[in-house]
Amino acid sequence: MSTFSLDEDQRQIKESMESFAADELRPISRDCDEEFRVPPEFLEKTWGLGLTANIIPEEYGGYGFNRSCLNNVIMAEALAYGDLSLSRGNGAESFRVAHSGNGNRCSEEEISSNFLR
Amino acid sequence: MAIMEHSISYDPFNSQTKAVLNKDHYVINGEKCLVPLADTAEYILVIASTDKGTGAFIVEKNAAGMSLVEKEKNMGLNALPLYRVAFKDCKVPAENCLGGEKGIDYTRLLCLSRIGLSATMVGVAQAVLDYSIKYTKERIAFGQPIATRQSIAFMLADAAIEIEGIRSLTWKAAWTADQGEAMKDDLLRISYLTKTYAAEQVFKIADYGVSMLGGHGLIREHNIELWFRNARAFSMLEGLIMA
Repeated sequence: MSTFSLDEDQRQIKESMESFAADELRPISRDCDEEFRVPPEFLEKTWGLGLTANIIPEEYGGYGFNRSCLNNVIMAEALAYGDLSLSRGNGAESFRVAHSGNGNRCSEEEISSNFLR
Repeated sequence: MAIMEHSISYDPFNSQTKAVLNKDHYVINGEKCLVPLADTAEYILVIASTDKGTGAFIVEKNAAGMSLVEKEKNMGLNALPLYRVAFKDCKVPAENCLGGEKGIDYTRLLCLSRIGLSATMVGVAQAVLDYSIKYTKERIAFGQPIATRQSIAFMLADAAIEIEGIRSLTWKAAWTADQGEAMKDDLLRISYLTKTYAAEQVFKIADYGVSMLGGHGLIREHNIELWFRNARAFSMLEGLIMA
């Protein structure tokens, strides 16, 4: 790690996530906490933005981003700033699997064609 | 993903949920807790012990032998529906085992999960600090904003220092993960240290937030009490650390 400054892509990720957290997470945070639920329309928005599917290959409905734990850490912090529960709701699995970077073979061909189509 | 279990001695490296290979399928037995969105998920990724270590299995929502026990009501993380899920002789095809016969690198998955958790802790801590700075600058007591009082200023400064600390540590852990095989031996240690330190600090900072807001730190009109409840949950997730 030769530098602690973000590159252009990382800055864009950070800014877009901060904006999404401020506009979409924080305003519904209190109601969702008291109603014990994540609104389905919120999950649809996060799916539309590719938060959950960002590193899934394009042929399986994702966006084919490079796997980078550091990028996902930047994303996770920005979203949790809006609301913790909702940030985990939109990508609860992503934090662990999709966000988990290289080495888990979660998108290997057979699994992908069976479960991601 | 179903990873946690209700056990006083829960150890993520020693799952009491077992998956036994029987010809062309695995049979899963056990119970998981804190499973997010289990009521609506089409598939649940279940972590279970096998004779080769720990594996991850894709289980379909209507799989025979899998059932939702209850929706959990916890102190924090309320917006995220969390369920207890039971597996009783739940059969899953052998090809649903992630990574095939070789399985997954479970240690890495756990490490990356801890780093992800740490990142969210930084976000919560920063939210508490930003809210507290604004509040204490606006709140006037004895003719001055309370932010100018030493006891408040010390808490703000301490929180700012610790947030930079846990953010730097989280970035270092993420960077270590991104080095792959080259730094594989360092990953478990750094991710564990990061999660432990971040969990400790986010709770302390959330507690500061409640202190700085005084009575307002307890009521629903201010988000501090929500963040405080959520912050407490961190040390419980995926293995007890300093609970």
